[in-house]
Amino acid sequence: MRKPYSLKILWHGRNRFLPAILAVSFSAVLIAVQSGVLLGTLAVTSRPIDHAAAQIWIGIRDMPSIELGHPIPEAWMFRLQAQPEVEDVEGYLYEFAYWHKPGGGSEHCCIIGARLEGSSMGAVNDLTPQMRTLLTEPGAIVVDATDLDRLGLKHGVGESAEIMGQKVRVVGLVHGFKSIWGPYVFCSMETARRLLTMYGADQYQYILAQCRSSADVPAVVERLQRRYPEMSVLSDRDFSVQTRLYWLTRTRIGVALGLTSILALIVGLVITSQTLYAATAASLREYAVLRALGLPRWRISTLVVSQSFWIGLGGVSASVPAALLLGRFAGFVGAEIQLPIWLLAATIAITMTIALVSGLLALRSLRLVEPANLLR
Amino acid sequence: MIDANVTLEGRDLTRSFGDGDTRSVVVHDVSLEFCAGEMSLLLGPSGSGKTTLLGMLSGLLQPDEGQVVVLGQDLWHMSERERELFRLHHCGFIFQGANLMPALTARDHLEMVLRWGERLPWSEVNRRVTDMLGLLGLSRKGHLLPEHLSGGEKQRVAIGRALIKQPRLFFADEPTSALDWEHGKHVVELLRETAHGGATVVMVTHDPRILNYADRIYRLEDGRLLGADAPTESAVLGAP
Repeated sequence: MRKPYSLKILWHGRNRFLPAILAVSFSAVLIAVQSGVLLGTLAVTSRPIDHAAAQIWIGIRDMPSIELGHPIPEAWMFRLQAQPEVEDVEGYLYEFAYWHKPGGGSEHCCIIGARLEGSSMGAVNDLTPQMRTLLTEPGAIVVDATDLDRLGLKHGVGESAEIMGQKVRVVGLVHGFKSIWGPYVFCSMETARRLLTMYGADQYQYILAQCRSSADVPAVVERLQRRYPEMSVLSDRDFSVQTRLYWLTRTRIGVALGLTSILALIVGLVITSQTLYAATAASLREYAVLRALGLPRWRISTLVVSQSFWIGLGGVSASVPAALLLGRFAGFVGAEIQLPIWLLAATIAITMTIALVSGLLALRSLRLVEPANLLR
Repeated sequence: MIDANVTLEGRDLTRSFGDGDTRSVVVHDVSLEFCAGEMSLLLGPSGSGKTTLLGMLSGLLQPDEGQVVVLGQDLWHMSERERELFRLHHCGFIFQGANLMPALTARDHLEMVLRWGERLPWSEVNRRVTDMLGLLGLSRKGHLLPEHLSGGEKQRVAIGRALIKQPRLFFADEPTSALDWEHGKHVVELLRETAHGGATVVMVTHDPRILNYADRIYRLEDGRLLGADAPTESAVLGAP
């Protein structure tokens, strides 16, 4: 197969073009990893929803995110139970509290109280049957393994601390729930009620439901929302997305990461564009001969833009494995970088676009191509 | 009397550079004609305007005044696009340097013209490139990059690049100035063969060794045409 002229030019001048390829690669890695960090961080905010079996979440009106709920009356359960498609209904507590470390000092924590039986809709599926059995004991809790230090604990299991003045004891550890605002504390509904005394016996923060068929969920949600405007009724998927979007848009969590990515893109754009400009400017006489021979200007422009395409391709080819490796490394040190296929595809698309724009910017050097200049 | 073989004619061509006090007339009211099947030389000392004249005749440099009639068409009444297409279909050029792309092989340079200019299929391109490399004596060097070719070989590739589209008009600006005579002679012989094959070849040179290969010689001095000479040694030297 014949190699395109643009690829031959790039290979022959690889030393000249290497900085551009590295700049593009650096941009792509930074975009992918920054976005991956953002996705990983946002995913933790909605993980209690994503790892629970509930299909419908009911809370106070206009709740923007899972941690911004308010106590709601238990009586709302009847509204769900009255729906023919609904199979099961249960309450759910999610509230912030003070954690008093065994060695002194305190920390915010987030208590999640749910029913623990096998059919529970609120308990996250990371809680093993053994943990769920242990959690039935009063004061028993499970925390994330990476939060132990923050909670003032050494080994976790078997250690005790206090929440709101009540003694709690760690009976198990989960992974992947390292919260950004305060460690998650998983417990039974009974333990949660004992710790969260501000909740009345007939109050929950959320009411969860499951339908006999998941296909019925949208209709039930729509019907309940229309009939009871004082409630927020959301499918688990919508609630999860809404929670993540809240953290993305209402906080500055995405702004800093976004700005860094834009900066990386600009660096890639400038370096690639200038490299191509210089390379093209160095070949003006060769291009001028082609113009003298009547070869159309667009052919020469395509030759330059094609070089930017190969630079982009070289850059992203190096960046994807690098980003995946960084993601793997981050996992080892307890951070979470999510790199789904769509994110990698979007990164490749953005980076290739930037590379091609660089090529288009470099075309300004072709204005200097003038066949008459070849006459001496 | 009009020669039926005349393919290129310059009428009253004038060209100046600069403005106001710095204005300098480089070519002054020059008329001349070129025929198919001939290799014509434009001779003159440095600054005589021969290269500027070549530029106007070839469509690269617009005259201030005058007319260039080529293959029956007024070259400078064409739009830029039309002139570009005219050059593509009818004109070949070589310049003082070979101006080859360092990354492309000899074969690539020839292929590029046919692929990008003529848009020929690969089978036809391959056949014509192979034939041209043979004609240039570069059959075994088609795969080499310019850095691995001698100066003469590079210039032959440049000639091949201009010849491969079989132009009816061929313009050469000092094509042998950077070559020793052994290589230069080969280049001149190639151009003469091209002319005697039916093309109109116009060459700017100051190399006296080329004169005996020319069919027609125009001498210029200070931007004015002194006359057309037969290819004799005296013509070169301007001796009486």
